[in-house]
Amino acid sequence: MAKTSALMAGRWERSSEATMSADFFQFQPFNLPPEAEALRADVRDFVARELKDRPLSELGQTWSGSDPEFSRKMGAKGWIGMIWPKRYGGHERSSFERYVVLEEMLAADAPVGAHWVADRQSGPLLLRFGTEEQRQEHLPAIARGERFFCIGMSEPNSGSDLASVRTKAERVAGGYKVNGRKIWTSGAHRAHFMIATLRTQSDPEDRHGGLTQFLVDLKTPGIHISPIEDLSRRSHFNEVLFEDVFLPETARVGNEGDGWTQVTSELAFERSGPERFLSCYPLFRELIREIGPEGDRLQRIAIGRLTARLVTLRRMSISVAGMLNEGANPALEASVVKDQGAMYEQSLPNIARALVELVPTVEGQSPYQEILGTLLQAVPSFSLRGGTREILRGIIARGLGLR
Amino acid sequence: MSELQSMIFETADRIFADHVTHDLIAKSEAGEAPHDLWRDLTFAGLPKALCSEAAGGIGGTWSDVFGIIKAAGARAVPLPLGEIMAAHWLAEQAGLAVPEDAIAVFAAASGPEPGVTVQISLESSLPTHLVAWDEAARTLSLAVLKEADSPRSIAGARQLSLHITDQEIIEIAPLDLPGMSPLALGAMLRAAQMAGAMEAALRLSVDYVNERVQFGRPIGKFQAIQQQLAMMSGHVAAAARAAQVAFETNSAFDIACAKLIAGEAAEVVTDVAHQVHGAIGFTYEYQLQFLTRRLWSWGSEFGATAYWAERVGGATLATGPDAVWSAITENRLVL
Repeated sequence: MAKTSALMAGRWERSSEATMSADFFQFQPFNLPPEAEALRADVRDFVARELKDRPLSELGQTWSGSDPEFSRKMGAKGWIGMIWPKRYGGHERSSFERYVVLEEMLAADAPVGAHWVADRQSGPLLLRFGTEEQRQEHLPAIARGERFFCIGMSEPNSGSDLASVRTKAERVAGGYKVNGRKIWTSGAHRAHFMIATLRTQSDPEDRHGGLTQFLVDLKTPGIHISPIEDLSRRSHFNEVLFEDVFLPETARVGNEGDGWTQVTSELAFERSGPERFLSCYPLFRELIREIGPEGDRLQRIAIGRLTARLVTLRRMSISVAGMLNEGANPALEASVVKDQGAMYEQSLPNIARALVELVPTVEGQSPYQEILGTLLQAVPSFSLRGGTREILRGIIARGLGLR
Repeated sequence: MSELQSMIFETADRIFADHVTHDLIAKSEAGEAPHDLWRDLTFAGLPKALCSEAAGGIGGTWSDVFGIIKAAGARAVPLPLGEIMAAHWLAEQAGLAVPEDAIAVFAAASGPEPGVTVQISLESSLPTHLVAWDEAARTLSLAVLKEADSPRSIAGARQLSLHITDQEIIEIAPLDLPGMSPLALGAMLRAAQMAGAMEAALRLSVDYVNERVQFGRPIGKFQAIQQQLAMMSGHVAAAARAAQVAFETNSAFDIACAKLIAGEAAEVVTDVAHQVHGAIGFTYEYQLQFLTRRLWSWGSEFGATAYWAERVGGATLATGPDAVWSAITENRLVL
């Protein structure tokens, strides 16, 4: 019976109406406006000046590379907090202008990691949900490139299942007492503050409702930060231990119990930016250099596929930026860009190795080999950070009408 | 969509929905011409959508008809609407008069003079005339389409290789369209049809897994199915966006990217769509095959994936490592 009904449903009949040609996604056609394009030359001059003579060991890290001095210089140029109101130290530029600065920085392999999280996530979060006092205190310092943030979400027993976080913020006189630990916290060892998602209520029936976000000064007594070496022996992420840490009432961001909603709104912005397909751009550039101006047929075909994917991902990402700029919520489209971007970036080092026979290095043979060595070891994380591939595809599946 | 775009899209999609049934496609694949469908499309003025109003057209741009070509792919419309629109568009620019009762399709042609040789993959037995564009000779020829024995593509389209002589040629006019070529024009059409067919295959797959029950629940509830369809949908989205850009800019580079992205995506889409459908999707009775067989066929027409990839890759390498990024941001990569 089930088979017969499926069979009939699978036939095109007059009643099939317009659904066959209805779109699942809304990638509206946006192009970067002239005022955004006008910024490019300035950004290119800046990175050419600032990044000449970099040691090989710093190549290929893009937004994982951290250089507080570089961040301060970007702040002085007005390129952090670009779209925030001027009264909070922002520059009231369009999100397209911000997009141009971001993609130019990534394409140039600039060490933007120190301020990246504060600019992309923490600042916007405080703008939306923070108190006036919190905004005045932090946003101007972030925009100057002097204050860095990290995000305390994952815990040893809470990864993809974020709603299960257990690090507890208990009400005490004048504020909260925090106990527990966060892990995989990128940049905590170099950040000044953390936006932590903590449990303020333990009701097994309402896991989402018991979460609250806090602005945590990482110098507070009782906080212990231990870097964790990644597989390449670099220290990007950390374990952050909270032992009877006192947070004043004024450290809470938003209402008690609103943490889950706030976190989810943060993630939509996190997922569609140019860092989701340009983290490997330096490798693409150096691969082209190694192959030379003509290449053989196999090399041309492979490079052609990579170029087309890059150009298409960029257009999809700009389309999402345009929709965000208009106040829409393209969460589904953003997830698609991140998933497609991760697949593209993860394929790149292996394609490069099939086209050019040079050993990936970590001790500086050539820029190509150094970047290949760095990225080959970095790309597995691209489908882990900012939501695993499986979680992301679950979100997309729900958007498609499954689940 | 602009007002013109939604108006002509809705008109076309309504006509497709009214006519294009399983039986119509099946009959057409067996060689029967869809006359009623053609009559309604003609009545709505769609074959001349790209011609000026002075020439009896609607005055649309390629961007205006993108949705229609995509929808024709989504519904496996069994006639070459894109090639028919292109024929009228080219004929007007060359000043060729296509007879009122002719059903003319555009084809890529090559010498030798005085005749022309055309290679064409022709869906439906409907067309009566050819508008053959010879890029090297910079000519456009209007000719009668003669019957010929021909192999068929896996989508049922006749694969014609014709030498057209003075006997069939009605008129030849000079044509020079800088930046466009017959191969690119055809690839642009196929990229849109493929994007539509992939969206339809996704729609069909989602509907099917939400309905098909195994182990006591719709199979769409299983993560194994969800993850595959989510991954596949990203390829569908990329192909649609790339094709849309090609219709906006009409640049050979964007068309090449669109056709090759569509070709790559179609490999994943046909694979996953069939996998989640199980045996039912493997029958002629079920409609998925109308989409997947066309995707396989279209991927090989007007330049296959590797052809366009090599052209794009050649352009990228020639641009050089230090100029590629600015060429991408300024849309300056050219084939």
